[in-house]
Amino acid sequence: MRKTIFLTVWSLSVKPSGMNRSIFKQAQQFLKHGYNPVILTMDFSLDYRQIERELKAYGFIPDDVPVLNVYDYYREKFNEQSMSSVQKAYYENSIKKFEEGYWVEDDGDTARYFVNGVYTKYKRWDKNGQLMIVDEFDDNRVRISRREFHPEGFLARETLYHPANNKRNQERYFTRSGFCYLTIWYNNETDRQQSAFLFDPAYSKAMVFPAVKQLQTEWIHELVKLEAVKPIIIAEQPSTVDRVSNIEGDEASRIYMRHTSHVESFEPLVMAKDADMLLRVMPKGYPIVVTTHAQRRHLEQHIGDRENIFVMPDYFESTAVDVARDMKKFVSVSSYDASHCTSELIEAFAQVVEKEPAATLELYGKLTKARKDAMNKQIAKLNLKDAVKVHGYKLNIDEVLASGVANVIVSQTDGQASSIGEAFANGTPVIAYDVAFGAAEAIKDGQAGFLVEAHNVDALAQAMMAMFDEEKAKEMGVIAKKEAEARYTAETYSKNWLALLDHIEEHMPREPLI
Amino acid sequence: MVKTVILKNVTKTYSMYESKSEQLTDLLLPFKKKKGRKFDAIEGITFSVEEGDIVGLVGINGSGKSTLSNIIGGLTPASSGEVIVEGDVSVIAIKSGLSNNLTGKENIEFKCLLMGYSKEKIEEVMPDIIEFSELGDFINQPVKQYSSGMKAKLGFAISVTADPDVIVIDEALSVGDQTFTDKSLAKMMEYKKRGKTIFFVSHNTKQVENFCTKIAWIEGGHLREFGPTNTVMKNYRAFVRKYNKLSEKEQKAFRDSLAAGRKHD
Repeated sequence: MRKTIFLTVWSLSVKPSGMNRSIFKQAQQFLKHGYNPVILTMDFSLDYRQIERELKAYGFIPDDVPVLNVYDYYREKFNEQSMSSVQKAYYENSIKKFEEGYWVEDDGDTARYFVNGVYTKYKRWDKNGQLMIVDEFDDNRVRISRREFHPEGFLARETLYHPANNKRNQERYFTRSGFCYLTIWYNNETDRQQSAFLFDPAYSKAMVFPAVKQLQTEWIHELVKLEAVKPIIIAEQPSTVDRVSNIEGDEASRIYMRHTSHVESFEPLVMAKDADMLLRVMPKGYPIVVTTHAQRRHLEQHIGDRENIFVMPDYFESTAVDVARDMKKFVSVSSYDASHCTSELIEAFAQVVEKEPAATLELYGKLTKARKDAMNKQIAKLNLKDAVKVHGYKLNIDEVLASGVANVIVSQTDGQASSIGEAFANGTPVIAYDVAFGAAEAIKDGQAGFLVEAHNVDALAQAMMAMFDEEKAKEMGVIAKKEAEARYTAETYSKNWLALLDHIEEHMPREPLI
Repeated sequence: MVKTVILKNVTKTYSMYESKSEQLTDLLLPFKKKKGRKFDAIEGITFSVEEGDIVGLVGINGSGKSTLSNIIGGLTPASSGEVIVEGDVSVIAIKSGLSNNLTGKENIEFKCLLMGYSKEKIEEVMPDIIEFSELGDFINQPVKQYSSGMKAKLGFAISVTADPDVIVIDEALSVGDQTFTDKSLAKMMEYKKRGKTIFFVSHNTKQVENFCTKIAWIEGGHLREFGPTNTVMKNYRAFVRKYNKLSEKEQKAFRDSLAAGRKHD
């Protein structure tokens, strides 16, 4: 009997972040070594079937690893029959663009509906002509409800808005047969959840929870209870830490993982807000997994060392083949979160272009429109339009990394920083700010890249210019590749994890009596 | 920052006998099946402490705090596990090994000799110790005439003069008067600044919260939580509130179930 490991994440998308990729690799290795990994997601999305299919098709998630979602789970569990005739009729009427009795303003994928001059309804379709939402309005053009449709054609969620401020005050979630399995109440002024009610068609008693958070905890607990062998739960993300820690009893072993830095600022020391729950769980003695040794040491000093902090650096393997390296091209692969000093990078690159006009910089990673606009504005202002390109997210990042002379990372703090390991695996040196935890631990200055004093734009420019010594740059690339082969291998990774997983019971603290 | 005290899987087991004859049989007939039952005062305790840390040991009565502090202080050996203490360690407890028949002054001399001080060095530190102890003329009286507060003052004064690297204070500050406690805490703060490690056992949660940087919460001989003061004390206070709300019968059941887990053959 394989032991199940629940990997709890907030959400998945077809554009997986570095953290999600790292969770997928976990699933791959756990499966390979005799465990039964199951990915659990907590958010509401109508696309999970499709997302799962795509991630499996890309090879990110092995076919044998199930992906379960809390909303999908209850929708299926409480579904009594196939789509009801009422649901069908409602959908067939809704999907029509030109409904009888309305004047319709047709705007392609969206349409506005008027009755004798009064705006009453709005519809949106996706690019495949699939009906997504129907909004309804009162006579004063105030939205009163939104109905969202599942790709299979049934009404999946209805949101009702408060007439006072047009903020939601109730959501109802439906099964395929039209049964409402979940109702959530909101305070329309604060947007905080007030209660969540779960309805089982077999019982007339509603189950009440203070919020969906508690329902998510209950869901994980329900899955745990179905296991024949005591399972392991890994809280992979800040948002799942409290869901997992609130599960009562000791029917499952628990591991808490921190993929990113737990620090927001070092001087003065401010811990990351989203690490708060983790830092509260740590004193209880549950295994905590981080990706760098420096992070463990920092936590030991500031939280306490009871030998429950484990270091499991991620592993990286390149998938790039036959990619030509442009020795004048710098790349920067990042998640562009708040700690990313992009403007300093662009500023430094202006100095680089002055020295070497053929130099280019290509930026990759998920970023908001506002951030992208701000970056492009700065690029235009510095007259770098031809030299600097902002690309956004790219699925196959290995090709990008393998094509540049160096990967430049300007984060203020980070965990292992997957983009360093990925660059090394592609034989690409990394220029990074000399910050805890990942960069300072992975890069020896002048070996597989350069460490630059954080926020020192001139030094950053100097480090980039040093890469124009082609021989030195190539030598650094060779060192980078060797580093990856020595430190970030799947073998070491699974050995580290199995040492914990195979002896998990020895690392579990006692459940308190009161 | 360097780790100064490292405890690895430390267990202290006592034998419990129902009568003296049982104890004698076990002692005299080593090959016979032992009669005494075993009791784990502490079991499998693992944690490390850094220089500059002030660690509060908290827990309800009988949880194993004093056993643990005695092991750290080197007064009791652990039954199993590893205890590493970097540097000199000094224990200040209410009954911190003062001889009742000797006067305060003689006790100072005696303890200083035990610490390896020369006659000259003792003469040099004597006035400082007497001054810190605030005992005045009582210093020439036998210790048996002292109140528990006065004993603690003397014990504290001797121990701080020794300038140890690791200090264990077991309830010693809860018996003196407030002025002396404040003075002692100030001295401890000075030690903290100098990077010394202090273990602090007290039932006074306010004092623990004000003074400690980390808390080790011991429950039924196990380490229940170990971490920053604000986090662990919040949980500990919540636990104490819950515990106090229990009826006497329920409290006893709680203590019994903890104790049952600690007894074995």
